[in-house]
Amino acid sequence: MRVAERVYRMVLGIYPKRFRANVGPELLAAFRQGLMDRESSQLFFLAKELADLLRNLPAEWWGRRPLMLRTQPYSVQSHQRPPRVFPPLVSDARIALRGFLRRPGFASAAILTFALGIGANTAVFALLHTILFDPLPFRDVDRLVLIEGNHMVGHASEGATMYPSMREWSGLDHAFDGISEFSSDVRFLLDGGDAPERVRGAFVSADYLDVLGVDPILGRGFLQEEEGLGSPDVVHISEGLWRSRFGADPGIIGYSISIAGEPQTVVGVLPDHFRFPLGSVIWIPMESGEATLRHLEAVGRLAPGVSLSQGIGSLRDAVESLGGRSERENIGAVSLRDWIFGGQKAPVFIFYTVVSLVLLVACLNVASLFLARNETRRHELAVRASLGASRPQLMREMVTESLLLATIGGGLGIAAGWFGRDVVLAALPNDIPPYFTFEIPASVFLTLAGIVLASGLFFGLVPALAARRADLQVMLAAGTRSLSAGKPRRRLWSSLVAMEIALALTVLICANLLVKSLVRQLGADKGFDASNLVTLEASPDFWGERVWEYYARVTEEVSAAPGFTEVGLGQWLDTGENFHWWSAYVEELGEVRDVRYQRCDPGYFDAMGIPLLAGRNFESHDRYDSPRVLMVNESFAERYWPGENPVGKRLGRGPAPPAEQNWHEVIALVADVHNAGYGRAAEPQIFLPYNQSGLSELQVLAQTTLDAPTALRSLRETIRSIDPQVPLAGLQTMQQAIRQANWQVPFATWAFGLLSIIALVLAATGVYGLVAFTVAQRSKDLAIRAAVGADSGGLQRMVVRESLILAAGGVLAGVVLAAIGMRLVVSLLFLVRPTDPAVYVISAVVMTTAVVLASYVPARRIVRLDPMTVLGRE
Amino acid sequence: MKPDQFLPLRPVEFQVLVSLSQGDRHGYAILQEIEERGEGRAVPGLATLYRAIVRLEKEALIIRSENGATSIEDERRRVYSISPLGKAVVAAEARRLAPLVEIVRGATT
Repeated sequence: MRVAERVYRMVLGIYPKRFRANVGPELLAAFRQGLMDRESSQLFFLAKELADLLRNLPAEWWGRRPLMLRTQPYSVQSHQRPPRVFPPLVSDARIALRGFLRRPGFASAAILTFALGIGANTAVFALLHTILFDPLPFRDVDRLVLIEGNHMVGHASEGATMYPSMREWSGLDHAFDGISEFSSDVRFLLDGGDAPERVRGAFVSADYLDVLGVDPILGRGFLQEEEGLGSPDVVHISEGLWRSRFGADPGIIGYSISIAGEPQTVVGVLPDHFRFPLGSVIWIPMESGEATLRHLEAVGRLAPGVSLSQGIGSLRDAVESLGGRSERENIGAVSLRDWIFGGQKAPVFIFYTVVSLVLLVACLNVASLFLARNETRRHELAVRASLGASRPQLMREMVTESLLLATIGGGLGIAAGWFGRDVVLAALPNDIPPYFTFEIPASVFLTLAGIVLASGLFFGLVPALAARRADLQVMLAAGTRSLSAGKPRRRLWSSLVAMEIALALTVLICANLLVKSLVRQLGADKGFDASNLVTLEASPDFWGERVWEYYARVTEEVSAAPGFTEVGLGQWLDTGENFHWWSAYVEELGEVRDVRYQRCDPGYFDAMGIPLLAGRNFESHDRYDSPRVLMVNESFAERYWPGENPVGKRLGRGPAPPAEQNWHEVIALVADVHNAGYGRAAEPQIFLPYNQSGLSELQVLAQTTLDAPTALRSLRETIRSIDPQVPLAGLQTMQQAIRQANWQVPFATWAFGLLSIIALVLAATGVYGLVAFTVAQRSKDLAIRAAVGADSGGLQRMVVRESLILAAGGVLAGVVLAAIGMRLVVSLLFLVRPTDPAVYVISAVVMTTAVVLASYVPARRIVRLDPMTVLGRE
Repeated sequence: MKPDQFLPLRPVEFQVLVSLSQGDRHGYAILQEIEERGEGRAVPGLATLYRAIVRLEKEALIIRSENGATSIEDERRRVYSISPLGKAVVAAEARRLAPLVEIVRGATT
């Protein structure tokens, strides 16, 4: 909807200022309301209103005389339409349309090429670009930085000093326009309804919306007095939550909702694309901003002209002046964009390359089509020129014609891109990652329109300019259907098409390799068995003994339920990289090392299929009131205690000196899971018993012999029956959870698949056009051969054979191109060689098949050629 | 200026005047009224409508009242009302059209 509005506003921008100043805002408001009133037909409304806007444009600019101020009474005659602004345009367009109908083959090939190559490709590109690179819905996002305590350096002194809220830090004013602290990944229990629900949220300082530059869609931001202890209980909720839980009630502002039994007043609803930080859907003002550097989380807006490093410098100075000289280096900042998209740069490079290649194929295709068009039209143009058509008139016609083709094709393509957006959304897992906006900015639309129009103009103008008058006369004199005519051009054309085939094949191979790599990565050994696992998150709202009793009953009852073999509990699911860190004090090093961790129950290892290699499992007596225990994985043991038996050793937590350490005994060694991402080498990890901490949100993991839907239903019902008040969430199979967490894989598969299909169809169109043209050009030649007794099947084979030779050349070049190209991006491929033979063979076979099919269709016309008719035409 | 000097009106101008002769409205409400009255037929586009509004206002056939609008966001609360001259013009146009409508009705029934 906002896209539509922006497009409309943009077009309104070309109106005279006088008009815009007078009624512009009103007109926009009316448009906005019109859009809101038409939920189902917004696209139609936009199209209609845009057409209306454009139709009125010339009169508003050039019809300056007041249309109703008449010096003499109006007569019927004088009240005719104002003179047309571009009278010839309409008649030219009519001529062009008639031409298309006469030769539907050319017109449809050109439109398809424009639609696929320029429209759809660019639209897909724009969409993916938006999703991958520009999805941060914050104002002036490049000035936003994430400030965090850097816990990877200076372990020893860390966590010692408590710092006041950053608002009280001095000397930051000149570097930052604003700093807003937050505390992310907080779970809030929404109750007070039928189904209690745990949602993710954050505590934030009151000005966080100002700092990020986001406006609520309803209500207001937090006020300064709403922050801090004893302030009024107010809350922001997300648009999604507002819709799903509160039925999009417009009266929600001022309404009180219950969070863990406490009433909180809703003062604002935030747009759904704003889920900062970390997928939050609920925001509550902070009570205190006091924190150690390790726990500091803030987002800052750099003052204009201040660089990131200057910003970091002033943060460090502030830390130092607060007495944390030794912790000076422990604070840092990264640009918000890098923080969120840091890891995604690699496939993106391939993606850009592939898109550019497809565009190139499209351009070659359009060029070759118009080359052919020009060829066949020389005769016609010559005739018309000799009948008195002026050269500007002919040029205008040709330009009109190509503009028309470009507009229709490009329009179709952009429409396809627009609807493709919904396909993308549908193809994505439900759990769309935070921060993502799905709108195509108006600037992208204007760029698309520009590309389409420019290419139309170019391809129309170039042949028109080339068709000089002298040339026309020569053509007229010579006739066009001589055997030799157009031969050099056909060679040029053949090489254009061969290039198309080569480039399209490169795209195909590139896309195939990348997708294969992504799929392999997802399918790589995970270190556990996800195939028959179902999961559910149960998060009771009570603490201590009662929680442990509850979870004990959960494992007991689920194990007893038919169809479940192993049941375990874990704090989180291993759906890829484990980002949860624990500061282990390694006695032998005398230092702290951050290692990944998981909290779980004794059943976890069997449920996940992770073997215990030595030592004992957790037991029910490992409780909060018994000595602390933990397990380490193989990588941990190899890195810190190489060649030693880890069982019986001990680990501390945090940087305290040994005498004051809180020691944990290592009771077992377990096999590695791929905790640094599937297919990557495992890293050191520890496992802690969940009931030595105050956890009350655990994932239930159950191995099942049932089919997935039955198992999921049974799991939910079994757990629900234990205590209906406990909020349950995330009911899914482990495979689903993995797919959701790795949404980029289906997404990339979809995008690259689509791009390779576009490239394939474009190349096939190119071949089709060439063969059809050849057959038409050589009809006389072929007819003579048929007349002297060559059988049509043989002629057909001859034509197909020629295109096969073309295909062979193209395929060979494509394979070489891809092999060289993929060498450059070898580091981006995962578990796949850049010369994976299967990929190359399959891609080449697909491409050759497409070429043969594309040439066979027009070649069949030879069968229908009647020698007498063909020769009689001359 | 005499009302007859404005005739014939363009269809969209006529529609706006008819709509406003039933009461004061803001721009979008005029459109909604036209839409309802014509059952969705012959509904002008927004740009056409607003250009007509600008023309009519310039000719003093309708009057714009800011109605307490204080900011740009309030612009859409600008309300238009028909002037006495506008009333005369719309009546004159209706009088002009009535016999024509009668003729067509006679011919088709």
